[in-house]
Amino acid sequence: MGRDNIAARPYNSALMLSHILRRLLAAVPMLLAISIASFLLLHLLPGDPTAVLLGQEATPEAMAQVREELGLNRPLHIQYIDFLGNVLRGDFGRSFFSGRPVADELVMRVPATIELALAAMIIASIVGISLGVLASVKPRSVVDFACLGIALIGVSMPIFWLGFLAQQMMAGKLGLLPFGGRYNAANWQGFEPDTGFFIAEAIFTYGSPELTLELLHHLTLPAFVLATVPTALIARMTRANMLEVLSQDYIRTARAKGLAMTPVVIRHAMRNALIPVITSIGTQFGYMLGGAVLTETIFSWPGLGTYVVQAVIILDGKPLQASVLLIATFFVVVNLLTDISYSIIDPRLRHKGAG
Amino acid sequence: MTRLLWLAAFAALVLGVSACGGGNSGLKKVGAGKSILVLRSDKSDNLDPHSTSSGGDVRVLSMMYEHLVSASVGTAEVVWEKKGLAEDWTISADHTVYTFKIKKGIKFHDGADLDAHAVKKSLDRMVVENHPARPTERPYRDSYFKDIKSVETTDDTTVVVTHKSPNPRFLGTLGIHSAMIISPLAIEHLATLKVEERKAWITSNPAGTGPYTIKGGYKDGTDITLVAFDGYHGGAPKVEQIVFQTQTDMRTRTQRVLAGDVHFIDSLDPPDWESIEKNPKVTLYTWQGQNLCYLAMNCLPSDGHITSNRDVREAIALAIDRQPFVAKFAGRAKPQHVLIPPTMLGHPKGYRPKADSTPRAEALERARKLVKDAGAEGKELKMYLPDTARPYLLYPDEVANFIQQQLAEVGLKVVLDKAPLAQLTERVNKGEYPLVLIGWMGDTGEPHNFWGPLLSGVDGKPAGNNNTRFYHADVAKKVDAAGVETDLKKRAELYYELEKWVHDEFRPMVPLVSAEQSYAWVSNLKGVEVDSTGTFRFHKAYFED
Amino acid sequence: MKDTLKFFMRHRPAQAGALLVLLVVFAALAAPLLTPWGPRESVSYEFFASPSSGHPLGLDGQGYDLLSRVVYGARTTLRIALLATLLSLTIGGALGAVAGYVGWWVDLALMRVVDFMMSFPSFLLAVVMVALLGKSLDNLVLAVGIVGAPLFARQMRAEVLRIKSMEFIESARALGYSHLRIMLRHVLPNCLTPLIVLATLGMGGAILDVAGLAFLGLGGDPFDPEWGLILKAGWNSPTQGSFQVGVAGACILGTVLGFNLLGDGLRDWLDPRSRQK
Repeated sequence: MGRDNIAARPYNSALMLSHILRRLLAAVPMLLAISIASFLLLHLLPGDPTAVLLGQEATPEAMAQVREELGLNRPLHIQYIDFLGNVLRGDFGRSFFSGRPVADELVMRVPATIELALAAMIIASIVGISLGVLASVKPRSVVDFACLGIALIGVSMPIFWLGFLAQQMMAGKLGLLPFGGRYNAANWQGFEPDTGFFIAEAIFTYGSPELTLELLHHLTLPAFVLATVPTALIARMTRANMLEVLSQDYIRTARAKGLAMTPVVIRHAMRNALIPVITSIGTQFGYMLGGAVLTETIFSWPGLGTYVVQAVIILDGKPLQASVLLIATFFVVVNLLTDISYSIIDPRLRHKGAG
Repeated sequence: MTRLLWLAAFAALVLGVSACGGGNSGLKKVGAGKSILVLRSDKSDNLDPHSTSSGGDVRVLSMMYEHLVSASVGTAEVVWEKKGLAEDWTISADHTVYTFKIKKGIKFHDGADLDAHAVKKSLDRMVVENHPARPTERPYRDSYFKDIKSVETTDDTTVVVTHKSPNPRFLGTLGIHSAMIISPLAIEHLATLKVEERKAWITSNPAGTGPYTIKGGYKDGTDITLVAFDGYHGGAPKVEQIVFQTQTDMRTRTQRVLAGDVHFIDSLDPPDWESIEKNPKVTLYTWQGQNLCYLAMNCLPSDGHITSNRDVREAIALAIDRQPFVAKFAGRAKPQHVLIPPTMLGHPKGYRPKADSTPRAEALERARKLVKDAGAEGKELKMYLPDTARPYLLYPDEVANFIQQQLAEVGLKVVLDKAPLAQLTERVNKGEYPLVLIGWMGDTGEPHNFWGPLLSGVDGKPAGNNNTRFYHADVAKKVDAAGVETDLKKRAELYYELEKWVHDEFRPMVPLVSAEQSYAWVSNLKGVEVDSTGTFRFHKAYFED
Repeated sequence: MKDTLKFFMRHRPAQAGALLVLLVVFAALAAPLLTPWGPRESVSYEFFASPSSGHPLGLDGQGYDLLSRVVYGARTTLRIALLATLLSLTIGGALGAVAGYVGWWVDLALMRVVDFMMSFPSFLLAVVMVALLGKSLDNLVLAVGIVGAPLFARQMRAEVLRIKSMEFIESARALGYSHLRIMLRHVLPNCLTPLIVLATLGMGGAILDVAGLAFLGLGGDPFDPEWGLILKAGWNSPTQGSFQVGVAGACILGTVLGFNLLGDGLRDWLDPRSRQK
């Protein structure tokens, strides 16, 4: 747990509050630093945006005018303040190549990735925790080795290759699941959701179970592929924590007294073992938002990852800037929430320090 | 605590499901056979017909906009027929004045009526310098529209286009996307917008006369939904909607059409064609495209590349071996030694420039010597290649690598620079590249469509799409002369002369191959129309049970 | 040494890991002996020719011998992973050591930098760095190396903090040794073990990251013999390239698995706490 070492002190609620406050305050400079970095990113990228914006027939006067309009002539700190103001208003500028507002694209793409990551996280949590618990209950059994094996292969697997194999198998050979995409757009008319949360939109805005099923059908394969790494990590962590808890005195005493590995015992152990696992899920979710790049590419999933890669390949500054800003901010917020929930759920854990 | 959470989740679910009852009425499941999913290799960012030069945009535009003329279907050569928006036309004997009779009773998607004034308004957006509604760039203007003196209307149905000099190619010009007719209302609105906003607006609000249009605006460059335009003058299309999706990955495209998951794809892998042809689930359509894949060499001395030395260019031409390029197409591409592709007017059959008919060993030896003598040995040459496959260049990386190897054999070091096609023109015109690996697809079946933009220029400067930056006043003059020659036979002769002169004398480019192109669609989709320029249309398409 | 042997004799996963890694190292070192063809030596224009006696894995889409591309690929992949990991180790180690040893505001400032870097998913951070640096394999190494540094920095800092408070450091300081000497002679040697474990595990991660970035088309020259690029090249040919994708993917998986098994083994061996179990 790469968390700060906080020297053991007696716990009280005032301390906890001050801890939360301090984390909140610490996040502010972090967010500022992120905004500065993403602002500078645009200036560090090669290429002159104005030339692209105006095209061949641009006169030097027109170029100068656009530079003026874009504020590229003003001092850097003023530009930064403008940038910050625009971002807070939800204006991320326009793509240099398509001319469309970046915000419009993000509204579709960010939810696409969140949907995928959420599904993957659910799969990873269920599979990972079950595997880990089963393995820890019967150490050195077949289940245990399977768990260790999956955990190991999961973190060693090139995700794009797994995607390829899954596609060939499930979509190609068996024809059970689609090759990619979010849904079969040819099947539907009038599906024009305002955001990229397609499943939520299908349920709440459009109320169509059929479309929901189709969306889920398309989500399955990429979600399982994306879930590989977190499943492995969660399984491993669950197993280790469970083993530790199960070897603690009170459980050992209970078992020595003749209490078998009953569900009650297991549930009791789980309650203590799973807290760090559950909080780590938050952090991993943040990672997945960015780490979904490869999965999105293979399954033609129009998410944030593919957006960033596209922007990098054609060196389109504004989309890149906005994505970086968004992902980093999201990551910080998720970490913050995880941290706070961590100290609320189990303040004791704070005193154990980093391991 | 946990239980509470579960309860909340359950409540949310119940609420969600209950909301299903009063669902939004806009959503409709399209019945089988009412919708076509097109998975293509390129995407569309710019649906302004007057500003784009990308094939990916044109494929979508061809569903929404129409021309005054229409290209023949089922012929190897392109013939311009009177099935477009003009029901008739007359051409003055000297080919300077074209008079068009516009069809009546046709409506644009936005409700405007098509008449002579609308046609003038649309053409003017290409023709007039500093037009108030002009897009940021008009890449076809220099080569095609600059010689137009005026576009006039004499009455509500007659448009007269007058050229400064004879122009026997003008029907072909009207067949390219830059001459698609846009609604007058849209053009009026465009004039009120800032220049850099126009492209995006017209992309979201298409206003043509074609069988399909975009409803509800354009959202994503990779996913475009077109819906049937019920007021289409050719009768409402049977297929209600067309969805264009992009998949640059040939593997996924092919697999998905074979799985029946999508209905129509482009650019299949030539080695697979034989097996796909035998597959009853899929219809494969291949044709010898009017395309040319070539290696452009920067000839402009002021750009400061060693390729401005003719000997270096000659050496490069000598070093190139076309065999692997043809092999990459499994033989479904023809090695090219001249500019004009084989099925077109002006292609000198069997002719090869001197460099191309030199035996391999001798050619390499001469090339090495030329490079050495020019002091170019070991020099680095930056070569552009497109970041996505093109129909004439299905494997950009592989072909670039072959060129790299072949030029290394004669002592030249090629450094690759892979970039989107959209950036090519701008960077070429800055003189950035000594070498450009790219190609050209004929839009009009006209040889001038190759010579004009690729190896000629205007006002003493190379044309915008001229990646060789080659400009020679006499060549340009001759190209112009061939372009205005009204006698077909004489025209062909003039083009032969050009080919036999330019490659040996100046060597601005190395033509590589002219490839067969391919589409495939699920075999129960009938009535797909592919015209002689390779444009596909669905207005007569239907699904057979 | 005896201890090491004994451990390896008992620890099956570590054996398997070591075997896999040795195999890859052998392939990398002995590449020219294993195949007569160079990794970029055109054999013929019979693209994707099936395996034959002269070409056990057949040819690739460029007419190169696939086996030689794979074994030379081991070279590239190992070199890349080593360089990237060393870079992470050096940068991260230095930052962590300074932060931990000096403490105070230096610690605070450096750790904020580390936090800042970690506030971004590492793979994506690498993608963005490639945008700034330009697309090439060398830049991938740089990007992956830098992105991996914070992890090492944190570990190093924790170790230095732990050791700094120990008695022998106090006595060294009492003897008047310079900070540099204490750092190099006393602190660093004692915190190497956990870093070695981290580096071994980091090798696997670096291989995955570099291959993934190369697969996305950020690797520069697509025909460098690198497994991610080989995989991508096979991917580009719908039916013919599938075998190549399979081979390249299996190589990546095998090697990363090897490093991860080895790393886990090393951790079990070096970490006394888990050794007791």
